[in-house]
Amino acid sequence: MELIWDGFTSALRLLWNRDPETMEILWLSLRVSLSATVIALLIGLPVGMLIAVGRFPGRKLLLAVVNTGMGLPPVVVGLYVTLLLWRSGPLGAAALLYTPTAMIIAQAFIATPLVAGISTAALQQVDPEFRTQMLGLGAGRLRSLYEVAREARLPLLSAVMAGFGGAISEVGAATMVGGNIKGQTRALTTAAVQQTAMGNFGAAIAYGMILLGIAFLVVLALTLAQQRQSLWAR
Amino acid sequence: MAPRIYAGCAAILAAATLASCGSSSSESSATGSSGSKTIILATTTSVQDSGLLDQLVPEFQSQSGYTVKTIAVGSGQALAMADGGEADVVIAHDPETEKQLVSTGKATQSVLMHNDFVVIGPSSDPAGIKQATSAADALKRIAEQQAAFISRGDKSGTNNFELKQWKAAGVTPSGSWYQESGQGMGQTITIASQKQAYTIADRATYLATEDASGLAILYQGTADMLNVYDVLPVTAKAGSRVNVSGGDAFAKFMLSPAVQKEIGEFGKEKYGIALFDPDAGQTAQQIEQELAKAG
Amino acid sequence: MTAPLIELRDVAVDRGGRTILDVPRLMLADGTVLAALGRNGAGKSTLLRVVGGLAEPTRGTIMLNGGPSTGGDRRLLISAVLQRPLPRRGTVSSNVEAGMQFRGVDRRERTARTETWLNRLDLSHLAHQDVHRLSAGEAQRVSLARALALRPRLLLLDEPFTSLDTPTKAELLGDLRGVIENERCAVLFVTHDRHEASLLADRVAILHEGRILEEGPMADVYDHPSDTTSAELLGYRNQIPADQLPLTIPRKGSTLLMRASDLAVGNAPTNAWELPAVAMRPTIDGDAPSIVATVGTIQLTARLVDATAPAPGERINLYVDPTRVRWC
Repeated sequence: MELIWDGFTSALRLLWNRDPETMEILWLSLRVSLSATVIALLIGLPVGMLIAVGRFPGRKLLLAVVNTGMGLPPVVVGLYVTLLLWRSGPLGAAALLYTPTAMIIAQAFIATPLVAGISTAALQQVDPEFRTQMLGLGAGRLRSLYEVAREARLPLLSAVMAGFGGAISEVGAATMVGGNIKGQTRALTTAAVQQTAMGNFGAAIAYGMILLGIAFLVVLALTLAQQRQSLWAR
Repeated sequence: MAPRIYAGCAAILAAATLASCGSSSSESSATGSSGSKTIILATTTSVQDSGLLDQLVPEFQSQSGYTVKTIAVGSGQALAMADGGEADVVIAHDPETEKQLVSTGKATQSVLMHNDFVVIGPSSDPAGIKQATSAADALKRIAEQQAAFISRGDKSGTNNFELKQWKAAGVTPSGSWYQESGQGMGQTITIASQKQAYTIADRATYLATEDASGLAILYQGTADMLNVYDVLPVTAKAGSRVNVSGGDAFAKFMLSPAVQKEIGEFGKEKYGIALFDPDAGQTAQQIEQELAKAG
Repeated sequence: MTAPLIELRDVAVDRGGRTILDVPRLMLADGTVLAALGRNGAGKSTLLRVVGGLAEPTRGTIMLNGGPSTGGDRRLLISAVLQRPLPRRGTVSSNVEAGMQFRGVDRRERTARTETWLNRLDLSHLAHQDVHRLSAGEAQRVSLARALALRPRLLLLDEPFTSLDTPTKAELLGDLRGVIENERCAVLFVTHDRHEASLLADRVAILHEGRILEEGPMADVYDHPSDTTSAELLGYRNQIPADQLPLTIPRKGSTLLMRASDLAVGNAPTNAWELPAVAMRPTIDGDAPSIVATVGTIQLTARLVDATAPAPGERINLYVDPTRVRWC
């Protein structure tokens, strides 16, 4: 109990004093996870749209692949991305292993199926006739898809939240492909694990608290956006 | 409505682009191989967790202009990385495995520093190992009492040291009292603390976690508890992308008199004693003999 | 002679290995209202979607103003009202504006037209209401206003009344009739209800299993169906093959057609033909109490006029006004 309280107060102290190392870790976590979320959205949303409104052979198979991907263990992703980025691996020449870019790649792999799966479910909630109706009012093909997404925007925000949550909270892949290098690839999760390993439970709890706080703030912001939209609609 | 959403998307995209630009500009120096200014240092966790590298690596970076990527893993994995050419320089404390690697010509080895292993456990010492006469004897007593013991079980230097001692004791440890954590040193100490079990740790990690674990040193100080750390720059034989000159530069830096002096001072402020003894220029046998003389 | 607004040539749609629409030729002239009448699954909605460019035909050409056209070309001229209102999230007026927004109508024009159409469809008081809080009838009115505010050359109506109750339907049908006459746009109106069709349409095409059985001016087809299947869709429930007729009357075709409303049980009108029959069971035709009776082996449906339902098995007489029967 006392340890948790200590962790909480040291979290506040680190933030209040803008401890440079903590700020660096916080910024890296946000930068990596937000970038991964944006990539996941750019890929996952169209895939979700394709599955939800498309009619093509292999649609069910793609859905099964996406749903399996939603449960992808980060460590497995970390392993495969590492193998890909090894110096002796296929992308070794790019020297991306142990860089924030590698972490973004790994987290995007984790977040994309989450975004695709949840947006599929969200977009399937829209009446299939809705798109026909929008076309029947003069919307172009792309505009009609946008209108379907707009109709599902509240559940789609959940896809964003799940993607970001999956990215910022995972530790297995971040450690494997990032290496937890101080000042370069040390993120909130990997720092918390390291502090735990070193027996610095106070610091570990502090990082955990900051992680929790960030996740909460981002989700809160998105939830407020949801609520505002629906209040606005009324 | 729509333009606003488009604008929002554009803003997010711009932010992401900025973020990735930020990362790529700091990594742009990482491309290329032998002429590269980035080196990968694979180190055993105990050295990383002690905080020594947090002090030395920035000094090396500012002196040499290299960027160091420190990857903390068990000695086994660190040496495997060197074997595959995935690391440029290694800090390890696993003499047998190191010897194998050096024999392939993929790395060269120099003694860097040493400290010692300690057997730790609950201060009540249920197996009575305080009276032990050697490391092997201490483990034998634990096995006889079937007192709980946590092994790293991860092919790390510490794990290999432990297994060597069981062999010396003539015991094949098995049974519910002998558990493998599969974790790093720090976590293994935490598990031992929670289970009130014995374990073997390097002194530096033990000192760093002493307050949190509450475990006591129950056996220490004999020559057979020696823990020698080596620095091993990787050669081009391990892989075409190995940064040979960078690895060599780091090894030279670590063995330089100024840095050796720093290693000898490291930890005194915080723990009252130095965590490592610098050993540049010596061999493991020389250190052992010296210790035996002193002991 | 000017080219028709829309002309279908050898248009067919296949789904799942089956041909669900096969139209060798169909024309729709500017300013006319064409009803596509058929049962569920006859291919009516598919026809409407293909015409409007909302679905692509598997084969065939669709001409627009005499030249070949793509679905995209036609989508620029149409607006559609489907079975369910399918509103966009937002207010009533934002929904009415949606289509104009898609087509780049400027803001002032949008506001003006929205106001006009909300007025004309009695929706002004709901302008700022959330569409998801409207009744079914109100929502369908919004859907109509949204379609009409686009000033389409061709208005597509896909069974817009099916989800509405009878009084709401009647009211909206009346309003729509006036609006269409005013706008002078062409209309393709898909329905399974011959009464709706006869109220709104100038011409009718009878669809059955993906084919057009006949097409012509509403009054002609309605009164003189050329085929027993289309006759049945047009309400001629009673059909007696000429060789089974229990009457000695001049034959003017192979089948005698009678609406249930023209065949009565009860008092004999003057000059009526009399058909001896056996009562089977009571039934409802439209809203009217009726009975099913057999004449020989043929089942007929007749209205109960000022009479109580005869018991099953009772011998009765059915009367029909000779001027009301049709042949095909």
